[in-house]
Amino acid sequence: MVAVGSMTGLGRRVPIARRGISGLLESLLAVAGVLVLGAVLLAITGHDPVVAYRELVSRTLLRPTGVQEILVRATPLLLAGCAVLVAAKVGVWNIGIDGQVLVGALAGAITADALTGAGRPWLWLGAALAGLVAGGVWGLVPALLRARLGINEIVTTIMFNYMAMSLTAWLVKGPLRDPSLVVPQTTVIDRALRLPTLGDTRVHLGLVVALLVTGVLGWVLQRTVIGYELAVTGANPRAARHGLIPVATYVLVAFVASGAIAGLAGVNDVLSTKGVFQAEWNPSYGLPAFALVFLARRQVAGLVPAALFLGLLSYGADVMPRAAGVAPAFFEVLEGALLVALALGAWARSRRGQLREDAP
Amino acid sequence: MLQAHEITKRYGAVVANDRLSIDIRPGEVLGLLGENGAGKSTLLSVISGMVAPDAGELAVDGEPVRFHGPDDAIRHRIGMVYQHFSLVPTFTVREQLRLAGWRARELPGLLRGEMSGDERIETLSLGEQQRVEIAKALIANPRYLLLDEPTSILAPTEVARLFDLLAEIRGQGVAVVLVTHKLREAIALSDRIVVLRRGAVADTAERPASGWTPTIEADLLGAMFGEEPSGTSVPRRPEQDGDVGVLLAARGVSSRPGGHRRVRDVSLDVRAGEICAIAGIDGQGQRELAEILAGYRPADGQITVRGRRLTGQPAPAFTRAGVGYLTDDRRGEGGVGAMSVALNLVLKRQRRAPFSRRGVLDRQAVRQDAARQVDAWGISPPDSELPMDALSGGNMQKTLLAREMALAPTVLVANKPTHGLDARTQDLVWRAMRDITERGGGVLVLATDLDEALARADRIAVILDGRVSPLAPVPSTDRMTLARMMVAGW
Repeated sequence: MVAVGSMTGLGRRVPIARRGISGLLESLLAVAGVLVLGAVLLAITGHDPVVAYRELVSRTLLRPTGVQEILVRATPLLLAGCAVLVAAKVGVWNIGIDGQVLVGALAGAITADALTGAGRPWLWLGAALAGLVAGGVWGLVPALLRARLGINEIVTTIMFNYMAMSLTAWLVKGPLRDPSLVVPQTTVIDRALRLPTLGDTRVHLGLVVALLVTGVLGWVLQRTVIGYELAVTGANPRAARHGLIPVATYVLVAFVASGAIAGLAGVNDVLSTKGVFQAEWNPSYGLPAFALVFLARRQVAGLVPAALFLGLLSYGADVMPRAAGVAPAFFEVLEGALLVALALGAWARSRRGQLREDAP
Repeated sequence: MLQAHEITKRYGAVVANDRLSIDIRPGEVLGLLGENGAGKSTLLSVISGMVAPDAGELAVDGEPVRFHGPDDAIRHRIGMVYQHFSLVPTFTVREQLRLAGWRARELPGLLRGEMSGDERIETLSLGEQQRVEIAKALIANPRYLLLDEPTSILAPTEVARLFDLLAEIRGQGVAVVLVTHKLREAIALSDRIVVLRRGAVADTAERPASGWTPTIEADLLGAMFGEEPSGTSVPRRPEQDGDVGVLLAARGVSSRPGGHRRVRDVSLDVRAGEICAIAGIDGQGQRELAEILAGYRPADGQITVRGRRLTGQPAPAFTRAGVGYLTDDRRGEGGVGAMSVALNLVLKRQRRAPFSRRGVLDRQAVRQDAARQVDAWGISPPDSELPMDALSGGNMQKTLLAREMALAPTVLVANKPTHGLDARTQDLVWRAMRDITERGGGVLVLATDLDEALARADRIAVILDGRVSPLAPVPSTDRMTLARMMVAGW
């Protein structure tokens, strides 16, 4: 269902396809480069890179539980990637994913608690809606500031992350605390009421929802008039204005949609792996989501493999300390290096473009 | 004496300076006059060490010199004041000057009494900022001071003050080179005027002891705009009298206050069946006027299309009323460079049938329409899947024109529609605009090429400093009168 290609062309002839392949190559090169850098780091820190990587592969990709865990971790990352991407399409950098995830998760947890007696589908639907709305509202203020006053969203969304952390922590420690528990958290959602797993695995319904969201997003961006207008807005806002597209409205809508999807990612966690909203939770989806979107070359179709790769890194950070004595921070370094490598690729491309443009 | 000898500088296929030789004598004000693209800025860049010429050489006091950057020029006591200032907005005047190497506690003489030195640069008016920029250039104690279009950003009163200052600088023995495209300004101050045209010196004149005469002025104007070409005029709409339908009418239209108030009190009518041209040198408020008339920029005054008042309405209302707009900024706002030609062609029509089917973009329809347009307009290479970036300027303009024509405009507002195009594409653009008039529509063209406008338009006016002269039928206008109006007003 996910359409391949992008709204830069109708996705048919050589030049666009060639561009797509070189993009894929660039992403693969970035991944390879990061793995090589990782090997060097392992060697420097006294590990045998071959042994460590073999261990990583055998514990993640070669075991059913490993694959399942990768899928579980890829689920919120995929949603967070969708959130970053929809904003990036109109040229907005939503760094506020984590804040939106938090408010979405808390809203979802509260709603789920209130709907305990309503039956599972209603509970899920209610929590999802609450998360979407809360995340969207959390994105609305930076969106308004950006669309109406042109205030840089990177700064405002970072601020809103801290506000979200403090606000949710205060709510959970104070007014919303489950009085029967010592730890500051919301009422635990009964396992029977959480999202069901798929067969006898750890993978749960949230993955299906995330894939569905990705598919719908891909369809909207690549098949609809709205997707076309979003793409024009992101590619050249002045041309969009010239083409009678309401640029400010689109920036607002895409920004809010981004927050809403991030909020949904929070609900997913509450309804599946966590079952509860705990104070001081730091989801840390924002940075990987950016790496993910760049790795996917801002194409919806690339989000899924990119999310799987980052899911692998995330799970690797958990198993490798025990398996091979590699510190979890190693995987954070890889994630950061991946972003740098992709940024270098983009820089090289823009330089090539610039050289061509130099002649007046 | 500073000499430039047979300087040649090419940018791609464009020869910006073509074996250009010029002398700058100590203590004189030299006016460098020419249309946009005549090669003035390139020459200045060469003399100030910003760009290396492809051929030719520079000499200071008879000694050949070679500049590898602006520092070399400054070392030879050549100072430059650019059109766009290089000041730090958040610095105070004093900090700015210290950054440029001013060590004294007191401000330089030309700023003393004007400012305390503690003002932040960003709070100064453009004229004051320019004085700081000039003071900065004078710190290195230049013998030659070059100013690139220094008056273009100034209000008339500030121009007078600038000229007083430049006269004072000349009095101290510094040669001042004043680049301008306004004859009146060149004459006001210059001891000598050199006219550039197409990268070469077209005329040189020295001020007679008794002052500049109208004869010399006429000669300079002639040199600036070249000789009248043998007519390639096309058949025009026969002169009609009486009641012709007015399609687009502007009454007392001005830019909104705040920022640059560029368009001032413009009134004009575009009637059915005619191409109206507004000729003018660059930077007279053409883009603002075009955007206002096409509905993209709010303005004071009244705009009606076929008698319907559209003042204050957003751009889509203008488009619905049949107003088309061809921008002069083809890459910047005309096209989306990264998108395919096909997707660029459908812009503005994406919500109409057959392209939108209940909100879904019908790619088949987009593709078929694009193929038709590419074929009909001869867009090359004939592949609508290529990104817009891959097209040459001419083919990009064909694409943008095709897009506007597909909307079948009643009135087309076109800003510099043939600028930078080859003769064949120029002809294609004019024919397309003639097609609009033959269907009973009207066209308003903002043109920088006077001869082209005279050859193609039915009525013509001149724009200078945001004001537009009354439109007059082309056969009853005099070319030299218009050329004079373009630089000296009316």
